[in-house]
Amino acid sequence: MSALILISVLGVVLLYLGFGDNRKWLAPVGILGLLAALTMLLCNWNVESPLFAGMLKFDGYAMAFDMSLILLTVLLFLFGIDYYARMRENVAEQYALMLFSLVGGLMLTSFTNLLVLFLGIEILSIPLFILAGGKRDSFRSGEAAFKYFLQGSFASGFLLLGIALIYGSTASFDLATVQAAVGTSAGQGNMLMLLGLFFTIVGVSFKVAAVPFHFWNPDVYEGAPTLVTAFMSTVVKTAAFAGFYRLIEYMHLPGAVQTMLVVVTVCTLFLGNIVALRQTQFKRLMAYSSIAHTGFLLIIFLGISERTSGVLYYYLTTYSIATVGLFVVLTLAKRAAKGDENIRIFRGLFRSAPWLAIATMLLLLSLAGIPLTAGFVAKYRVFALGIEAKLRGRHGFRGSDGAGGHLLLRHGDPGSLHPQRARTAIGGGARELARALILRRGCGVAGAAAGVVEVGSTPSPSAGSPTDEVDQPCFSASLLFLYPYAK
Amino acid sequence: MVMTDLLAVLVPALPLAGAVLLSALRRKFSATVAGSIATALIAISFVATVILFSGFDTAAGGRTVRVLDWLSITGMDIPLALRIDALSLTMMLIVTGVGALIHLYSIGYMHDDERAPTFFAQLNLFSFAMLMLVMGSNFLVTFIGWEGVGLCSYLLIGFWYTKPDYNYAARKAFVMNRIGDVGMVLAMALLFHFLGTLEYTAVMENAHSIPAWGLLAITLLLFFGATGKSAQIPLFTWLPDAMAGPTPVSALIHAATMVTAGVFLVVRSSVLFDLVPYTRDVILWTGTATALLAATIGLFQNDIKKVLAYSTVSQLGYMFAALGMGAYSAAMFHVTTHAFFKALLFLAAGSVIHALGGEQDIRKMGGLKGSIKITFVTFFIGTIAISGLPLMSGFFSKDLILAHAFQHSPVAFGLLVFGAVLTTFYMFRLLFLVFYGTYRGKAHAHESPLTMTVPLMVLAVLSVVGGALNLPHLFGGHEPMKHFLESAAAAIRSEEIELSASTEWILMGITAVLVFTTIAFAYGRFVKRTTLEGDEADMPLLKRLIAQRWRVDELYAALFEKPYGWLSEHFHSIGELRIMVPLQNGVGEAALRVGNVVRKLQTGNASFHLLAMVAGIIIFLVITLLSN
Amino acid sequence: MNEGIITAIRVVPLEHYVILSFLLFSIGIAGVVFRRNTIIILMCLELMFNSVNLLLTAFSAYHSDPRAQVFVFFIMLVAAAEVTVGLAIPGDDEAQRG
Repeated sequence: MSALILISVLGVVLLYLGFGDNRKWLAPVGILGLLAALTMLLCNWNVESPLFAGMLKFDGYAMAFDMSLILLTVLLFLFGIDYYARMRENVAEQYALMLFSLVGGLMLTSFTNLLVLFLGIEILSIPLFILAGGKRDSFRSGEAAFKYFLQGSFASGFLLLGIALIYGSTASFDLATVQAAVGTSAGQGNMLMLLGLFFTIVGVSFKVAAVPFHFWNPDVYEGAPTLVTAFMSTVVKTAAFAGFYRLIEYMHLPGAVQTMLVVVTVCTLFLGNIVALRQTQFKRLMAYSSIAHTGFLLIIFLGISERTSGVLYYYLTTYSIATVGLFVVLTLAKRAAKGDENIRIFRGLFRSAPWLAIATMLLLLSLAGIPLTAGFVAKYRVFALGIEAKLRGRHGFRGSDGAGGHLLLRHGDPGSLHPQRARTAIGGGARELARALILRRGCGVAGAAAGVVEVGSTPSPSAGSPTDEVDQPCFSASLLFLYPYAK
Repeated sequence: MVMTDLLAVLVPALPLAGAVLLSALRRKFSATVAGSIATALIAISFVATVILFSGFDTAAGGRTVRVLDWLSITGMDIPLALRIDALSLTMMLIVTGVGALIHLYSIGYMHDDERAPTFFAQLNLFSFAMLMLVMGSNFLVTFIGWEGVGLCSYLLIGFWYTKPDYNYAARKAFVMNRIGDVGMVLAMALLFHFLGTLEYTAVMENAHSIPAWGLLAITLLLFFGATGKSAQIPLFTWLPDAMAGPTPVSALIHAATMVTAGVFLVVRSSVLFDLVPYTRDVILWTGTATALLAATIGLFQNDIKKVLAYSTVSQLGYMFAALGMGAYSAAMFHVTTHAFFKALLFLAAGSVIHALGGEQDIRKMGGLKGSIKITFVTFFIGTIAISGLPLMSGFFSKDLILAHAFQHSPVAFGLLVFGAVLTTFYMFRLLFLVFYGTYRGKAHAHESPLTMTVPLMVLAVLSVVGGALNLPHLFGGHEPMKHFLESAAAAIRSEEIELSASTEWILMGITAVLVFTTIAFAYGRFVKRTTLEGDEADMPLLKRLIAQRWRVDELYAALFEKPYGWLSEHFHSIGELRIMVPLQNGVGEAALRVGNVVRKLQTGNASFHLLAMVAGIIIFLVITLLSN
Repeated sequence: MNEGIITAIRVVPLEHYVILSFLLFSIGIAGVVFRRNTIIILMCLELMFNSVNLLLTAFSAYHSDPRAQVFVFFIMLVAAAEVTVGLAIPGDDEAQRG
């Protein structure tokens, strides 16, 4: 809890620092504060004390995700030193808003009460509405901010409706009580309950940009300043997923809602992958990539076991690290290309900056889930979980996505699409790589869903704490992606 | 025990490191430097193996060193683990020991080749793969090595890739091996189906719970896999062609180590094979047939390496015959001695070829014993060892197999003795035509450098005294190798020769007499007067058929290659071009169109987005309510 | 909560509150989706939130549980914050929504 308060206060401190001409102090103070908060958090490791009358609980799950969120924010602040140095406006409020948003994220990872879920989502989102409009002289930025605000508030309405309905059928906002009520047979047949769960999930799905609640995602990613986009696709996404999983893990969804979740998952995987093929703007590409990753992560939710949280944690962390790296690369390339964000600016990167190109390639490979990268391990684990949950037999994943994979296979082959465009350097192949990234993922799903032999049915009794899952080789693989920051 | 584990990991890790290092810096190193590094690494591996061996306690059985969790999904746990027991140690000693000698030899042999560093990288990679093969604690790790050696074999046969023939030979070897691999993969799938594990120890413990048909299928499939790697009927034709590779490769891969992988696999799974007498009969007769067939072909070959290649196929046939009789330790014994004398013969042949500037045709050799003395002496020792002259290593190992055969099936015994006679004949023909008589070529012969002759001498000594490794009771020994191997494969314990001492003496006498008679015959035919083979067209029918290798290649071409080519051609012209391509293009275009349409939905119009969201919510609500 | 008020609320059956809330919520949705004026859209968002408030209050009375009313205060607070931000975001709504 002290971490929560410290970060809130830190935001205010940064705001005040912004009054003077102290911009060079902003990031260092912010980072120091965050590290202090992290230390406080770690001091309470394994002390599971419910806070605020049991509305928040910093258990192992929350601690792990909080650690990841704070460290990602530190990373982004480091990135911000360089990024904001070239801006005229006062940037103190940007740092402060990110910190406020982070507070919302921390609440999302640790809530045990639906009220806190709501508050967490709002505290996470409202600063983002402002941050998305951070480029004051840019029309697109303002447009993005407005769209984000509108759709975000709209989705909040549904979330609230859902929470109200759940309350109506259980007379409680406490997750444990709700869980007990859902578990009973009366709870399973209760229409209020069903609708409540349905709308709650709709509301949260918006935050993780699952289809069809993803429309804000590409526009906002494109319109927002790069650093904010990076913040949204890493910290916000991680926090939203952490919250989503916490919710679902408690709820034991009734079959009908599960079916809906399956449909959402399939749509998300499908749309994210297909549409991304046609994107030429880097940030939009990242947006669709993010949507497709959402689809992957949703697979995890379909069969929850003791290991799920670990896999979720691992996937989100590796995804976030690779994504931050790519946005750093984007900023560098964009600067060289005088503000252009088309993916063609990566062309010839290998010639001009070979090491950067190699790092970029590694990052892309990790996002694509090519073996030997952390991204691959993460995807592998998702599939392993999916197989354990026996998705194949139960949900008819196989046909739909198998077909998708096949489409993408044919479609994603660069040669068959544009034979006239010969690429010379690796950097020039960034687009192809990005395509391949999407292509492989499609095939991966197809392969896992259609090809893998269904083995064993007993879930493995593995450790529950997410950190246990982060074993040595995987960890060192993810370290690989810290390379860009070493420069 | 930590120390032991570390050593066990070090053994395969060093050659791997060498492969990586050398291929990364292949442009920086000279042939000598690269060769020295590669040799040093494999030699250290050998030392590590020796330490492991000397510290190994047979009473404790074996131990498994778990390196990494590899595949771990519910119900499936396959670690990357190494197994250290008597069997793997025996193979490791051969691979690293003989391997180190051949590496050393290669420094001299490949001295002038500008791609020598690449060669050594691949040689090291092969050693790594072979070590994984023999050290794997489960079928899958072995299979990785199995595929790895296949790959390295392909690379090294086609090392001089500018010659199309060599590439063809490499491809042939690879394809033949892959055909065998299918058997191995299917066998693994079946094993996993029945037992849910691929760990050797677990499989062997639970082998009894597999139904009879399953055991039959598994053992036959495993054996089929072994025929590919170990060049047995029907998949033997690749090995003679594989002589396209540099001679050290032939010695290491195609004589001493890789081709014995099949034998190793059968011994490793001996519990399974012991349960299925039918498969053992198949193995026995396949081995015997291969031994004879290859021996006959060897009679009329004119390429020095081809003769040795067919000899290898033939000797492998002996090993499989032994396996078929359940004489697993006899097979392993022959693997060991064969590794010594066949590596020696190949290296000596390489030395001859080196001396004559690349000449391989024995019709253009002769009288070399004066000019290249060391090579001659060592080749001579190799020849008498493989022919089984009394007290040589080959004598003990082959005689053990023959004794088992006599006990098991007199017919097999007769055929194998006949094979031994043929072996003696073609080996002495080779020896006499190369080293005796007068020189028939034009090159100026010169002795090879020390790096090449030292391995020859070491191997020659081993070829002479190798029999002591498993000295039978008859000669005052107590079969140490057999007892050593017992700790790894229980089946070996029941493998006793129940013949009386006098019978054994008589058997030995018969073979010895036959061998000496044959040598005398060969002496008369090739030293007194030099009989060279003329054109195939002039030969009588049977002889021509044999000289043309029983026309097996042509048979396979007619049976498989041509129909396959025909099918492939028509599938391409009709199936692919007329049906699949339009279909796939259609699908691809459809995906593009869908992508475009969906992209247009993303118009940036906020009202539309909200509407779409609401529509989505309504649709999902309907789905939810309907499925409730 | 005052017993009298609870009784007064309970005069109307719970279903009616639920239906009314749903109606208000739907009107809110329709307004947000179809109207083009920023102020009206914000008002419709408020309407959505307030319909939930009504629902929560009704449930609160029927469950005799004050916690939902606390929730209502939080919702009002958040809604106010959201509207503030919404109004502050620069730009011409007509252009953005066209």
